Amino acid sequence: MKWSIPDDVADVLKAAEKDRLAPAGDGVVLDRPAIEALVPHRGDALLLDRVTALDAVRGTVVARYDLGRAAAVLAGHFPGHPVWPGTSQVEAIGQAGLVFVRATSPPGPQVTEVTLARILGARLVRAVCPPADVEIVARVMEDGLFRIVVGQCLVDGRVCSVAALAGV
Amino acid sequence: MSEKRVTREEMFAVVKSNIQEIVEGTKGLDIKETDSMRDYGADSLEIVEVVSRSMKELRIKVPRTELSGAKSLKELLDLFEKFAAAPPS
Repeated sequence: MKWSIPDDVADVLKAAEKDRLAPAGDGVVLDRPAIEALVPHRGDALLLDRVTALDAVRGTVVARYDLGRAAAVLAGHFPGHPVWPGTSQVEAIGQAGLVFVRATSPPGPQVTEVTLARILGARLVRAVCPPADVEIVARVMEDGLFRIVVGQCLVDGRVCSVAALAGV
Repeated sequence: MSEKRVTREEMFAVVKSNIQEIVEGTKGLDIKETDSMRDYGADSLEIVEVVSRSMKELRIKVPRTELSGAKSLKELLDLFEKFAAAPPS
């Protein structure tokens, strides 16, 4: 089977390298307990502290994560030169997309299991080093039965990474 | 002008074509309605890919909660027929 990335997703992913996918929110739409009510991740594996904006019409979500929580990972990645792993950034983008999907699901029979199926693409533009309050911005798109999350991690408004993931 | 209804045979042709495209080793196989994609060695992600692509091509939207009950290609085509006939919500 030939793997491909849908054109509209590729366009959004490319644009995300330069510009924010959604404006920053200034309030708290969902705090950590409210996020935990939507996703199964807990403890150090939950890479979102709060959601600051959620736009069901545009399909976007904005969240924040205090890198101070990742101290255990950063101690080994790397000793004396802490850098938040790119895989963690991709994971945070996926979690933001999942929060969006769960928070905006219409009432009625629910599909309870959501599985990450593919990483369609990712680009790590700048190292994310502590201390940092990382902003995770994601846009959720539909592709048949798949939900595609295109997202970015930003620090001080600068794009550090972009990724596109497909889940089902 | 109303759009031409897609027949069950046309739906099956789309599904077969996607199985042959996505599931390795199925090119040239005689794919029957009574079979399940599992019979051809498809994994769960490949099954979702076949169904998703077929729905897009046929412009049919079947809720995911309904799809989980389809065990054979016949049951999948039954759902496609049901939702192709349903007015768009």
